[in-house]
Amino acid sequence: MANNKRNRWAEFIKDGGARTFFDTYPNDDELAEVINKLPDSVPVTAEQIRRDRQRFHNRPGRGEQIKEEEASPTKNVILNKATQLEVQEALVEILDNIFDNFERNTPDRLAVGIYVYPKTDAASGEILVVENSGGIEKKRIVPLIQLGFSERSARGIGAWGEGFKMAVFALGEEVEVFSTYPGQQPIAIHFPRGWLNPGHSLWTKWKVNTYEVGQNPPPEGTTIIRINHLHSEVLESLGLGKRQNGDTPDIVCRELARYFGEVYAEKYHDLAAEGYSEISIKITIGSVSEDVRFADRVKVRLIRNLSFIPWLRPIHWVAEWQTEVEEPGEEARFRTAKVCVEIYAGLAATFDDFQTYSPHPPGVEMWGNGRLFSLKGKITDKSVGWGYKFGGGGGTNPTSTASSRRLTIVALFTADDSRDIPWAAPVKNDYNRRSEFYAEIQELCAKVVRLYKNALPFLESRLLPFSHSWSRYTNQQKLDVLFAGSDATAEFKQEFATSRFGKKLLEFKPDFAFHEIAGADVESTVLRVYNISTTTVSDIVKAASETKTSAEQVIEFLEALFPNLAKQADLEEKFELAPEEELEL
Amino acid sequence: MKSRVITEEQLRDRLAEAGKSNQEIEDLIDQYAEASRQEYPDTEAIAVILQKTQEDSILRVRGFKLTKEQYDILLDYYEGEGKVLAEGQQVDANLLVQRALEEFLNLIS
Repeated sequence: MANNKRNRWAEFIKDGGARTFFDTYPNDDELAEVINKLPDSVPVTAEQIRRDRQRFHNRPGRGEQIKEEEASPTKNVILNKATQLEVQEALVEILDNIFDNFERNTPDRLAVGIYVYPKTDAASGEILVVENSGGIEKKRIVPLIQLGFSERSARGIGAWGEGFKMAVFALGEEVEVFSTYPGQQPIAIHFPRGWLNPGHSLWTKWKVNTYEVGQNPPPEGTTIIRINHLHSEVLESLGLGKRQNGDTPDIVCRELARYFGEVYAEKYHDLAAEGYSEISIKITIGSVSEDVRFADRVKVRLIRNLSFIPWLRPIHWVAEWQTEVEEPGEEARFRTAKVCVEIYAGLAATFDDFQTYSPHPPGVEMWGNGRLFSLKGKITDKSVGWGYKFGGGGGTNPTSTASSRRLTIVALFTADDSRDIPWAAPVKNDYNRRSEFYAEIQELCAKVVRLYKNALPFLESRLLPFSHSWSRYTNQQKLDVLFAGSDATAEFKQEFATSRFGKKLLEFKPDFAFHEIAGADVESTVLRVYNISTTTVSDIVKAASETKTSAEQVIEFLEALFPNLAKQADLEEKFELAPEEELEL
Repeated sequence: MKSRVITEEQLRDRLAEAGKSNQEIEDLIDQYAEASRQEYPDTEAIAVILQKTQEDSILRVRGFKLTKEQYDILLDYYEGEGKVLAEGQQVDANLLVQRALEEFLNLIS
């Protein structure tokens, strides 16, 4: 028997008839009952009605046209860039604008909701971004629409400029922005479908219309970005595609939440320090949701990851550069570009614990004004000092390879003018190797690599006692680490554990202080920074490796590595302390 | 098992009871304090370790670990063959003819 049932509800949504139903029946259960009573209709649930009411009825709608703005002169630029953007990069670009707007308007709290709706019989797939960062002021509408025009704010990361347009068109074909700025008339901007399609008649049209908001204007300070007709590959990436072999929406949701929590970690903590800690981002894909949990600060995570060897401890290097740059757009044609960098670097203590800083691949991680921007992966080439040749007898740095993966370098840039951050433009997803400060950054990173290059092959088992992980291990785990790969028997390890030196080593607690360096001009030899010779460092690394197979030699090496503990143990013997006694000065 | 902590004062009392003079007690406590501050590795000890392990590595010939005694026999053998090895010279495959080495190892095993 042929199935004559029709999806009446989808038809009502499509032809606009649903509006009357929504208005007549404010109760979702009641409305579902009414629809389900219609003859030959596919059943619809109250939950579906609730979602559709939220999605189609309660959202704003365009009203009368206000004016036509001259839009982007070169759509090709947007199109080319848009097609190269990953979904998560595009969403980050949109979030940048929201964070910037939030900092500009400073409302008490920021809540961002990203809702991804799958394609249905009634509608194409769409993304709705609802946020209360303060609303878009009328005077900022032009940069939102035009290409080559960006508004900047102090310490900003994005400002409704080129990056925003590329991001939204990387996701879908039609874009509507509804916004209510306090004290101003609610406004709607519409980039119609086909606006960025070379095969469409609108491709040659530059005008972008601004409208009044005809229905459901966003509350004051709220902006709603609607990206409609999502590209099929975007739906696939979000777990809503036709193919079943990709990640499911719940996995995508979780992964996006983790990604945003990482990318904006520093930004969040910076804002929280200024009293704006009520920041939430929620992602909903279909029927699954995930709240973003912001990662800890870079420094906090590095403390958990690095080895704090006193004579090669991690560094915190602060430098600042400024230079005059030609800027045709500026009245004076020149302006002073200025950037500050904080570099945190050190040797990762372990590869399989606390993977907050994954050592794969090795390279330099970069942040700009609190936002992670090395989104294409850590920077591993010569531009950040790998393979760098120092003048005179300064030597050469190694190239970045798997064996250099222990070296962890994070560069946090801040600049009042976001153009001075060395991020790619307009989409901030990579290092801009044409930055005004290219040479300075390269040299400073090279100096950091030089500091640690001789210690790169240091055994993990010898780095671990100086790490945060050490305090989390049981004594047995510590013994297994210390004698890994050696001929130590269980009895031998136990005997060591009860020796004076052994007990001290098992209870060892490193300090977690970074070595502070100020100014870019500091010479970065280990001798100058740590007062230890390069040869000594190489010898220690070599001796660690040479002694690893013999349990006796392991102890001999450890006593040389921790002379303080060995000497203390010796003196305690001399003081004739009982075996279970320990001196504390 | 957690160690029982002895304070400096308790230690002073004990050392005094053991008949140490005030000066001796001060010296010992200074030594302890100085040792506690030592964060740099013992470079002399590292050098000794390296020297020793390098000597040991001489005894490793193409994956065969030789005792010092066997190594001395090897030296004699080669000197007998007219091949002179300088004292402490690293023995490796480039220096030794593989076949001769195998013969030699058969000889001493």
